[in-house]
Amino acid sequence: MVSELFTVYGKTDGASITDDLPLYADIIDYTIATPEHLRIPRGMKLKIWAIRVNGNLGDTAVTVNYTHDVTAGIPVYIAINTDILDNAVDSRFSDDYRKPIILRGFTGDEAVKFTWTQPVAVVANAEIDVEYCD
Amino acid sequence: MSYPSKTTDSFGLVEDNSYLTVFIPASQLAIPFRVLARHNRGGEVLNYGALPITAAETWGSYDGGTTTAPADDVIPSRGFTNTAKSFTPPVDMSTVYDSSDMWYIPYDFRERLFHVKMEVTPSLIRCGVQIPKGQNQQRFQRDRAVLGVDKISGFNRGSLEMIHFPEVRIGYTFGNDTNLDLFNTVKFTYGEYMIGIPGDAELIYNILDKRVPSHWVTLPIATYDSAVKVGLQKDYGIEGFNMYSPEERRYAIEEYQSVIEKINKDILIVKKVPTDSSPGNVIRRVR
Repeated sequence: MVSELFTVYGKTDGASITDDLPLYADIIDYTIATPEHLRIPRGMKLKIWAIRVNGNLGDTAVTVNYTHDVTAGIPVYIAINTDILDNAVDSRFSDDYRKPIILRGFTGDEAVKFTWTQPVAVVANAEIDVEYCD
Repeated sequence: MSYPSKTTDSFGLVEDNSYLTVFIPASQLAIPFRVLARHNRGGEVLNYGALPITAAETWGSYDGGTTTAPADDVIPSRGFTNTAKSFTPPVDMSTVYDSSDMWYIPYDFRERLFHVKMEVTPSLIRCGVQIPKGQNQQRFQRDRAVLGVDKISGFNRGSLEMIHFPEVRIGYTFGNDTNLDLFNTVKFTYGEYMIGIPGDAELIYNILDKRVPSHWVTLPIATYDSAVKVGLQKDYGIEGFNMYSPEERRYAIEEYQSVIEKINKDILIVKKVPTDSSPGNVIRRVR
């Protein structure tokens, strides 16, 4: 039984109202580039266990996007889930799923990315707990 | 963590005075070893560190062509090993026999056997072995398709259990089919066993017939390379014992007796027969 649980961290750039989160984690090396998506190996699953968003400068929505073919010239992503940090309520938002969002790697070309959307571009942070498993 | 059995402990390593049977599918031969003692009792875990990878090292690519390691110790995204890896010894173990392969020992270490369980983090890394190094062993439909970490099948993600025979070099292969350049670490749980081969044909039959508890390891050897054959001959004087069904028991024991005679005497455990004067050997008087 293969299971690799880790947390990716991303930060909005404060200049764009929407873009994909860069993904930082302890197991990822950034010498060449910072990844913006997680490819799902064939036969494996990616589970998203929790999404935490924080920032007190403005509202931020984080959307989970999934594609069946990340190798396409322009991959077609589908929104799977959106979590919204509403500053009128709190400056921290935590969605801790009791049952994770499960996304499968059917061919090995599937991938997931996390996109932020803001009414006004501000800096916000997101931490996402993910697990690769078979 | 493993569940202890009659022959193994919580590490999944063979207990002292228990049996370990290594089976080679390509030759259909098995070698039962008796583990006399574990040399590294109390020090079974070796946190090796990162895979031995150097920056700009060339790896094959799942996307075609090649890719390079972005930095020392980092597994490149979408990459698989072009050449199997050996584990160079850690700095404070530099006095090992072979400075390029810490698990390699020559045939005159025949009374030693390494039982190695490798765990790679992140566990989604594809792991495979070449026995001997350079010889891919995962096959489909005899030899029609050669498999491995670079193919759709022929690997295990994150872990491997291996027996290192003296005189046989084993190569480890790895693959990363994610888009992430990955830091990694390898943990070995190993036993350096002091071993012998039982010299009792009946006992060997009972082990191979699974009447006597033994920890079985089937090596992924689909092609019986001459390096393995010659290595086993040099180590033990034999390549192993044939397997027989219960109705062939008498024939099997007869054959095993002749194989036992060829076993190197350094590792042969001679069957001990008590003399009449030995304590506990009570002679019944017939009235």
